[in-house]
Formats: sequence, C-alpha cells, structure tokens
Amino acid sequence: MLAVASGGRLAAQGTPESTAEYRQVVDRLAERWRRLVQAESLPQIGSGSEGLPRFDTVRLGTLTLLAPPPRAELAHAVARAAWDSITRDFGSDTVVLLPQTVTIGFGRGSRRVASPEYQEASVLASVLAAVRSAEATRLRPDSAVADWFSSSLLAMLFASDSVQRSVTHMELATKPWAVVRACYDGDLDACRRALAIATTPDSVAFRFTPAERRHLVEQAMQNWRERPPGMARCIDAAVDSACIDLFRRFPQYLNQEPLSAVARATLLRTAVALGGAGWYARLLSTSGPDYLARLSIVAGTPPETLLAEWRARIMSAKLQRMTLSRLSGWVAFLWAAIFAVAATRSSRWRRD
Amino acid sequence: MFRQILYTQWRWSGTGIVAVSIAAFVLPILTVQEAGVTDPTWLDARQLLPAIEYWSWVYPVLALGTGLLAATTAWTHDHRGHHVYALSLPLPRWQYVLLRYSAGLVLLVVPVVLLWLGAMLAATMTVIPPGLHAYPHALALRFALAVLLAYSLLFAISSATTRTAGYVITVVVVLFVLQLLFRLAGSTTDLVSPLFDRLMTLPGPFQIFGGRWMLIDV
Repeated sequence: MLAVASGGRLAAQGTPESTAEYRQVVDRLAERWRRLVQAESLPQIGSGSEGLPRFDTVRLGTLTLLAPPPRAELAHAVARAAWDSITRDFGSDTVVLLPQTVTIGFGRGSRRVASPEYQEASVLASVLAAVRSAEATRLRPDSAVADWFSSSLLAMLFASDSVQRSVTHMELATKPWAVVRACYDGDLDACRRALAIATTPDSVAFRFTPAERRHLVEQAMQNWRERPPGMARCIDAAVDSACIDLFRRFPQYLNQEPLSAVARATLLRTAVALGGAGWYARLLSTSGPDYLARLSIVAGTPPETLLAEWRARIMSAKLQRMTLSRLSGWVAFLWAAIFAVAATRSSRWRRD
Repeated sequence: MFRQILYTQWRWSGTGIVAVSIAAFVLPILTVQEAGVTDPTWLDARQLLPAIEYWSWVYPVLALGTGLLAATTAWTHDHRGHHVYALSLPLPRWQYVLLRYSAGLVLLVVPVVLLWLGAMLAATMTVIPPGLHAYPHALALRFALAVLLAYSLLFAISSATTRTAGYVITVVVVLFVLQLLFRLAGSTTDLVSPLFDRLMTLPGPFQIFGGRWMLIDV
C-alpha cells in the first residue's frame, strides 16, 4: 500500500516572506508531488503479468483512494471509516486541515488479502500521517509551538477521548512530581506548569522543585563518563542554581515535561469542545509562544476557565483501579450458590 | 458427621492445602519485592504499577488451582469406592453433598486467611509512592470469592458422573476444534471470543477472575 501525504516538505525555492507565501509554495510542491506519484509510482503498484493495472477511484471528502476494481468496495468502506474518524475529531475544520487531496493506492500485494480491519487501520494511519504532515507544514512558521501543538494534535487523533482522559487521570494520580500532585489536588496554576504551558523565560524552574531537579540531574547524568562542570555542586552540595544551570546547558537530557503529550491532547480537546466549530482556523490565526492564551482563543474562554474545565473533565474520567464492586461480589456469590445447588442434584446412583 | 467428613477431607487434601496456603501467604510479599529495590522517595508510581501488575495474573490462577484441589480431592475417594460409602449412610444425597461441600469450604478458609495476612504484611512492609494505595482487604476478598466460585463449579462437575464431566470437557474441546477449523479454512468466524467475553464480564460467572488483581493500585 502506498500512502502519499501531500504537502510534506518545503523545497528550497527561496525563503517565503509570509504564511500565505509558505502555503502557496507548499501547495505547488504538493501538486507536483502528486503528479509525480500518479505518473510514476502507481503503475508499479499492481505489477504483474496482466500489463498496466486498472484502478478505480474512490473519493470521499478530500480523500482519494485508488484501488484495483476487486478492492474498490473495500476501499470505499475504508475511506468511509477513515473519513469518519477525521471528521469526528475535526468536524467542519476537516477541510481547513486537509485542504489537499490525500492519495492512497491499494496495491494488489500478495495473494493473501489482508483483513478489512488491517486495511482500514493502514489507511487510517496513512491519513493521519497526512494530517500530521499537513498540520506540521501549516505550523512551521510557528516553530516555537509547532512541537507542542503537533504532538498534541497527533495524540488527539490517535485515541478516543475517554481513553485519553483516563490515561491523564492516571498520570495525575501517579506522577511523582510535586507540581502534578498539586494539580491533582486542584491547584490550577500547578496544572498550567505540569502541562508545560507556563510561559516564562525559565519554565524549568517552575516545573520542578529543587529536590526534583537534583534528582533529575542525578538520574540523567550519573552514568556519564565525564561529569559536567557544576554537577557536583548540584548533587553533592545541593546548590539549586547549579542544577538550573545544568538544565539550561543540557535541555535535551533534562528538560522533561511533568505530564505527557496525551495530557496536552486532552487540553486541546477541551479547548476544541468549548470552542466548537472553526477551532482549527482560530488556532492558525493565533501566534506567539503563550500556548494557553492561544488555546483560550480556540476555546473562547479565559485561560483559568479552560484549565478548570480541563481538570474537571480529567477528574471525571473513570480510573481503573483495584476495586471490587458490590454487584461483582454478589454475582460471584450467586453463581457459586448455583453451582453448589447443581452439585446437590447429582445422582447417588452411578452408571459410569 | 460433619467432623468426620471434615477430618477425612483434611487427610486427603491436607498436604495440598498447606502448599497452596504457603503460596497464598508468600505471593503478596513477592508482589511488592520490586518496591523495596528502588528509592521509594523518588519511585514513580507508574513504574511500580507494572511491577505489581506483573504478578497479578498469579492470583486468579492460584485461586483456580486452590478450588480445583479442594473440589477434586473431596470426591476422589468416593469415585474410587464407586460411591458405596455414600449409599451406606442414612442420609439423603443432597445432605451428603452439602456436608462434603461445607467441609471443603472450611478447609479453603486457611489459604484465604493466609493470603489476607500476607497481603497486609506486604502492604505494611512497602513504602507506597504518592498517588497509590494498598488494597489488601479487597484483594483478599476477591481471592476468597474466586476460590469459592472455582471450588463450587469444579465441585459440581466432580460430584457428577464421569460421563457428565466428559460431556462438559467434550463441549469445550469441540468448541476450540471448531474455532481452529474455521481459522484454517480462512474464515473470520469467531466462536470462542464472544463466549469468553460473556463468561468473563458481568453478569458472567467468571467475571470475578477478570479485572485488576492489584495489591497496590491507584
């Protein structure tokens, strides 16, 4: 199966000056790429002794699937599933998100036909990759926040809302960081820091306590051959400024976020749920490194309201834990009683 | 009468009961051994949970094994003696079965109580990271119910004739063979999974064996 996500890369054709120029360049490149693929790659998909293969085109929204005639019905079903999945999350913004055609070819492949579920999952993955690619391209001029939103968007696409809320609830309940514990207890400012959306020049200092910073330095650098300068002061002498200095110098090893991308995806989902239609266009219309302010615009609410709503949604998610419900206990007891009664009905006369 | 039956069942299954009781006592302690290795002050609860989860499958298996042991040994000698002893007693069949059943239940109290004690000991020994809690009582209660259920089911099967037990086993085997044939024929028909789901979820009889068997959990 060949998946072509349009709008993937910017070629070096001079530096565009504005977002609009960026989009034009991307659209041009995407169109060229698509033509190249259709002209060169697709005939190879169904290579065999029958000569050039024929393909049926299945179109749904901005998705275009090319499939050999025997697979056309399957391709349509798969396209429907993939499209439903995208539109479920993006609603009317799907067109904004996927302005270009995503072309996906169904190869004839081996003689063993993969199950419809597998095909569906594969196409969905390709579409999602295309979404990510298109979305990353759009946010490229906004590189300061591209990673934050990009990972959140991708995480948001890949799992159901309830699963993500449960996972985040689990994170809030079990992560060892003080800021996460405080967020769990209802401190919204701590939530802001735990989600790594605090906009300060030195956000690391606000994410972890001095003891936690020391611990992170020790964990990350204890096996290094050469101890970086300042490590001894940070760990042995417990000088916090030395630890912060290490965080600044080695962010790639130390600068971790207390909560995961899944948690951020739930914040984005909350903003989307509050803001409703047109959220993606609103997101693109914002700029700057203040993620929370941008999400507030998406949600159409003040930042505190957004955070409070997010926390309420997370805390309401079902958390799987070791519990034994009364119903479960009684049902087990009842079945045991039924089996015991069944035993008393056994015959005393044996005809084995 | 009950004391005699209890005594004979103890004679038949005592060694096995002692063995599973020791296992039941040790299991919770083994479960938390990981908690003592890492510095508990910095132990990420999410790292400890998989370690606890690693042992969680052993609890239902032990419960099943314990029930199986008590149920089969309760009837082994009756089967061997062609149930002449039961016929010789001035008791209706249902009363005799209940005596056997109750004697087995009394014996099963030992492993259940020992698991409970072991779980409480393990919970006391462990420094539990913030956000997590110990559930020794819930775990012991779940274990007790699972043992009760396994024992009751297998006791019922054992109390029946060999032919009846054979029928039960045959149905299960036929089901699996059919599933295998469907798969070999390239069919996606699934007989086992829906049935398994029905049995393992409420109000199915074996739902108590599913779910989380966690001594320490969120």
